[in-house]
Amino acid sequence: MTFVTDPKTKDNKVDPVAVAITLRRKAPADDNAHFSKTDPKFDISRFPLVKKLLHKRWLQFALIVPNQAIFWLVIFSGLVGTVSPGLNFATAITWYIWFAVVFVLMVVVGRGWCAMCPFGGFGEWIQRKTFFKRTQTTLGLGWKFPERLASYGLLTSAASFVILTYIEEYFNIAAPGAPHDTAFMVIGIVASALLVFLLFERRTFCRYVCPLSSLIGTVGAMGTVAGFRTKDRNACQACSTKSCMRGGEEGYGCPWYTWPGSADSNLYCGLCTECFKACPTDNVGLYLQKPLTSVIAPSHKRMDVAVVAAVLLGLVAFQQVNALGFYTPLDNWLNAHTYFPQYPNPVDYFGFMALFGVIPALVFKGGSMLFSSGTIKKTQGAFLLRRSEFRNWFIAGMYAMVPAIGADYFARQLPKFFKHATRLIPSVVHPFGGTANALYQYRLLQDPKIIAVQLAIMTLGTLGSLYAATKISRSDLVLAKPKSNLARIYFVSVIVLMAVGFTLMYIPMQAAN
Amino acid sequence: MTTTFSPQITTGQHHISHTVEILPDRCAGCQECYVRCPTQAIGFDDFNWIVTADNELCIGCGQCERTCPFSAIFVHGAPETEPSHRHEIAPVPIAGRQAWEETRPGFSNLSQVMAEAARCLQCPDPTCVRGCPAHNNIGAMMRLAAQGDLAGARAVFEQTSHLGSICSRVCNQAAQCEGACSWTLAGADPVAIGLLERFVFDHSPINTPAPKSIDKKVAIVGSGPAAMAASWELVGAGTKVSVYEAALAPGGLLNDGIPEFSLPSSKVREQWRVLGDLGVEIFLGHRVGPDELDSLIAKNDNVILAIGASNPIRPAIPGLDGPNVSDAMEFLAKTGSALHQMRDLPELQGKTILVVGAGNTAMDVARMAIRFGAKPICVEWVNEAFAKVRLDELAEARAEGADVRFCHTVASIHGSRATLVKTNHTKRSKLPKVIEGTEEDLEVDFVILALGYRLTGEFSPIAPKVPVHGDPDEFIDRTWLASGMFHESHNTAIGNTSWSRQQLTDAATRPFANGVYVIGDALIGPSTVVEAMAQGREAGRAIIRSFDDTLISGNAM
Repeated sequence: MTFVTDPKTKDNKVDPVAVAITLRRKAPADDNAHFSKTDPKFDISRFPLVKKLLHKRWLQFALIVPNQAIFWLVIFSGLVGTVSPGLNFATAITWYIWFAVVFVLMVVVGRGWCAMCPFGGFGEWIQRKTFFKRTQTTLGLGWKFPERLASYGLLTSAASFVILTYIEEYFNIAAPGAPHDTAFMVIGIVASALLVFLLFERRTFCRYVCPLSSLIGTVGAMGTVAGFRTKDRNACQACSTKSCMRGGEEGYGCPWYTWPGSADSNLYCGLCTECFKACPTDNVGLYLQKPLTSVIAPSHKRMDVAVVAAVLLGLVAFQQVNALGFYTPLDNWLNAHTYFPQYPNPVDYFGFMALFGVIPALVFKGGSMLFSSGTIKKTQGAFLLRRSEFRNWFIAGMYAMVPAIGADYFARQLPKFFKHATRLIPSVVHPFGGTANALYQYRLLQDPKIIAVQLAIMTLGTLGSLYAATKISRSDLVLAKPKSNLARIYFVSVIVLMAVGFTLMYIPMQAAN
Repeated sequence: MTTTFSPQITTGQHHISHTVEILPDRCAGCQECYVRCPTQAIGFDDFNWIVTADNELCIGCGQCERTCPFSAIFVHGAPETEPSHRHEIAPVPIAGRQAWEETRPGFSNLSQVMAEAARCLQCPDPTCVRGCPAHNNIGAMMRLAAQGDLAGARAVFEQTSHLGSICSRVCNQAAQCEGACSWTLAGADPVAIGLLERFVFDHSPINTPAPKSIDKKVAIVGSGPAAMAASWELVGAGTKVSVYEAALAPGGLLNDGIPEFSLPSSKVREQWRVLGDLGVEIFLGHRVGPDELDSLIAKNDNVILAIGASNPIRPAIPGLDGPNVSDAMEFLAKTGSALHQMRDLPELQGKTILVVGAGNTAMDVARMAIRFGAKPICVEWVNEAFAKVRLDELAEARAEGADVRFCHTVASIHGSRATLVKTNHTKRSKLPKVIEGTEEDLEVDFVILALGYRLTGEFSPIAPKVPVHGDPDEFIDRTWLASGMFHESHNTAIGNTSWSRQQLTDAATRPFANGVYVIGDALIGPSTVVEAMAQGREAGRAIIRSFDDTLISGNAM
C-alpha cells in the first residue's frame, strides 16, 4: 500500500478528501526501459511561442476553418457548378490537390491532416456545442463504440476505406467523374461523421470509422511528429486526476483514447492539443522524432496495423493493376460473365486486393515455417494480443513494408497531380466568367518525367523498407539461433523484392491517372 | 485484500461468476483501475502495457469500470456480497411502543457490528467518503469496527465529526455515504454505515481535546449542529468561544425540529454539556439582533452566524390566516415539550390535522400528531416518485397510520373546511399542474404548514438574504471524477449531489463579511444536519488557519 496525495492543481485547490485515499502502488514495471526506444527527445513546446500557441483554445479551430470553408465550397460548387470536371472547383481541389497534400502531410507529419480535418471538426463542434471553448457537457448519446468491433482496432476503419474506394471507383467519382458526385461523396462523409459524433462519445468516428484513419495511422508512422507525449512518465503514473484522459479545466480528455503517458507511436495521436491544455502540471510536450521511428521502434507492434498494411497494399496494388493493359479486357470479360453492369467488377476488384494482400502473408508464413523459432506458444484471446510464429513474422514484416506502401500510394496519386493540379486556377475563375486555358492544359510534368518521379519515390520507399526491415529483423523478429542470420536475410530480401516488384509495375503503367 | 466472501467461496467450492473484459485496443495502461481494485483482481502486463484481470478474484464491484478514463474495462456478472446484516434487526412494533421511544432500532450486539463492518471492501479510493458531506474516514472506521475496536473507530470519526450519535440517526444515508458505497453503485446492498456509526458512538466514551489556550475570541450566534461543530474545532485549538442562543435550551433545530422518537434529546444535551466543560460559554435566552452584531464583531476576533433558516414558507392559499393554521416548528415545539413532560394534549385527541407538505418535517409533524391521538393527512403536490422525503421515514409514517397523499394540494381553506385538489406531475423538471374538477372537501381541525423555510435575512448584508447555491456548471474536481462516482451507471446522481454539497461546504470557509462567517441553513437554506456540521467544522478550521496566518505574519514583523 502506498499513500498518495494529490499534487496541487493550478489554482492551488487540494482534494478535500485526499486524506482517505490509499491507492495501491502502481504495478512494478520498468517504465523507462519499456519506452526507452520510442521516447522522442525533441520537445517543441519548450519554445515559449509554441507553448503559448498550443495553449490557445482556438488553435485547432483556426486549423479547421479554412478546410471547412473549402469543403462547403466543394459541396456548393459540385452541386451547382459546371458539369465539366476539369473546370469545377469541387473536382479540382479534391482530386488533384487535396489527396496529394494529405499524403505529404501523412508522410512528413503523421496525423497532420487529422488536426485540421473539416469532417471530424464539424462533428466535434456540434458534439461539444462550441467552436473551441471548453464546455463541460456534450450533445448526443455518448455511446461507447461496441466492444466487439473496438477490439479489432483499425480494421473497421480499413473496411470503410475499402468500401469507400469501391464506391468511388464504381461511380467514377475521382477519375474524374461528374462534380456533383464529388459533392455527394463529401456530403455523405460529413453526414456520417456527424451521425457517429452524435451517437458515440469523443472521436469514435475518427478512431474507428473514418475511412482515412487506417491509412493515415499506418502510413503516418513514417512521420516526424511523434505527437503529444509525457515529459516525466513517473509524474504521469502518479497523477491521480488523469486530466489528459478525463478532461481538465482547460482541455478535453483525449478524443482519440490516447494517453500521453503510454503512447509509443504516433498511431493514435490526432494532434488536437487537448491533453497539452488539460494537463494540470504541464507535463505534456509536443515531440518530434526521426522519420520511420514509429514504424521501427514500438516494442508492441499491433496486429491491426499489420492487417491494415496488407489491406492497403492489396488496394493500391489493385489500382496499379487496373492501369495495366490487360485489366480492361479482363474486367469486361468478368462483367459479361457475372452480369455486372460496369467497372470495377467486384470479383477482380476484391480478387486482386485479396491476392496482393495475401502474397505478403504467404511470404511471411513461409518465413515463419522455414525459420520457426520454436519458442512462441500460440495463444488464444483478444485479436490484438494473440501470439504465434506466423504473427511474429507477419507483424514485423508488414510494419517494415509501411514505407513502400506509403510511397506506392503517393506515387499512384502523382499523375493526377502533375497533369491537372494547375486546373485549380481555371476552376476558380470559371464561375466568374474567367478563363485560363493555358493553365487548363498545362502539365507540371510530362509522362516520362512523371514515371521517373514515381520510380524515384518508389525507390525511396523501398530504401525505407529496407532500412526498417533491417532494424525490425534485429529488434522484433524472434528467431532461433542456428538459422537466425539466414532468417534475417530472407526477411529483408522478401520485403525488398516485394517493394521492387511494386516499383517496376510503374513502368508499364505509363503514368496512368 | 477483501474481507467479503461469497457463499460459494466460503463453502470451499471454486465459483467464478464474473468475467472481466479488457479492451486491448483502448486500454492505455494508465493503471487507474489497477490502483483502485479492492481485491487486487487486476494485474499488469508490461509487454503489451495493458492491465489484466483475474476473474476468480473479481467480486463484481465494478470500480474498475467506473474509474477507467477510456471505458476499456467491463465487468460482467452481479456483485458478489452477502446481504447486509441490517436485515437482521427486528423493527420495534408499533403497538405497545412508548411515544418517546426511538422508532428505528440499531444493531443489538457486537458480533452483528463486526460482521457488517467486515462487508466493507476497504476501497482504495472510497466513494462513501465523498458521499459523506463530512468526509468521515469510513473505511478506516470500518476496519477497526470489524475488529471490535469501538473506541478506535470512534477516534477515527472524531477527526472529522463529533456528532456521530446525532448524524447516524438523522442522516439520510441512502443519499450520502451509503448511496455512494461501492456496493450500492454496483447494485448491491450497501454497508450499513449509519447503523455502524450509531453503535460505535453509542457504545464508546466521548474523547475531548487536550486543554489549550490562545488569545483569540470567537462568538457564535446559534447553537445548532453548525455551531456545535464550529465550537468543537475552535475549542480544540484553544480559542475562547461564546455561544448565544435565543432559546432556553441549546441545540437549535435538533431540539424542537427533530422529535424525540427520531433523535433522543440526551444525544444533543451531551454535546453541549461536554463543550461547556471544555470552556465554551453558552448564553441561553439571548437573542442577538442586528443591532447587537456590531458590538459582537468589535469584541471578538471573529463572529459565526449559525442562526438557521426560520422563516416559514406560506403558500398563497386563501384562508391561511385562520386561527387553526400554524407552522410546523410551532407545532413540533409544543408537542415536543409535552412529550418531554409526558403531558397529554387533549386539544389534539381525535382531531384531524391537515399537514401541508410531505417532506421530512411533515412526516415528523404527522407522527407527532399520531402520538397525541390525532389523525394527520399530509398533502404534497409533487409526484411520490419525485418526492424528496426520506423513504424509510415515509414508510414508517404510513405504517404508524399517517395518510400521505401525493399529487394533491390545498385549493382553499374556509374555517374547518379544506378543499383539496388533485395535481398532475409527470416530469421531475416541471412543476405539477392542478387538475380542475377534482376538488374534494375535507373537514379538518388544524392546518399545519410544513413547506420549508426561508432565510430571515435580518442580518443582511452581513449574512445572505437568499441562500447560496452550488454552481451546476462548476468544474468537477478531477480527483472526484477519478473515483468513479460520476459514472453513468447505477444510481450515480449521488456524484452530482455530493459535489454540489462540497461546493457549499467550500462556500462556508469564506468569510461573508469582514471577520463574519455564515454557516449552516443561514448560508445555504434548509438542508441537512450533517451539511451544517461539515460547514461549521470547515468554517472553524478556516478561522484557525486565519489565526495561524496572522500569528505568522505578526512574527515576521
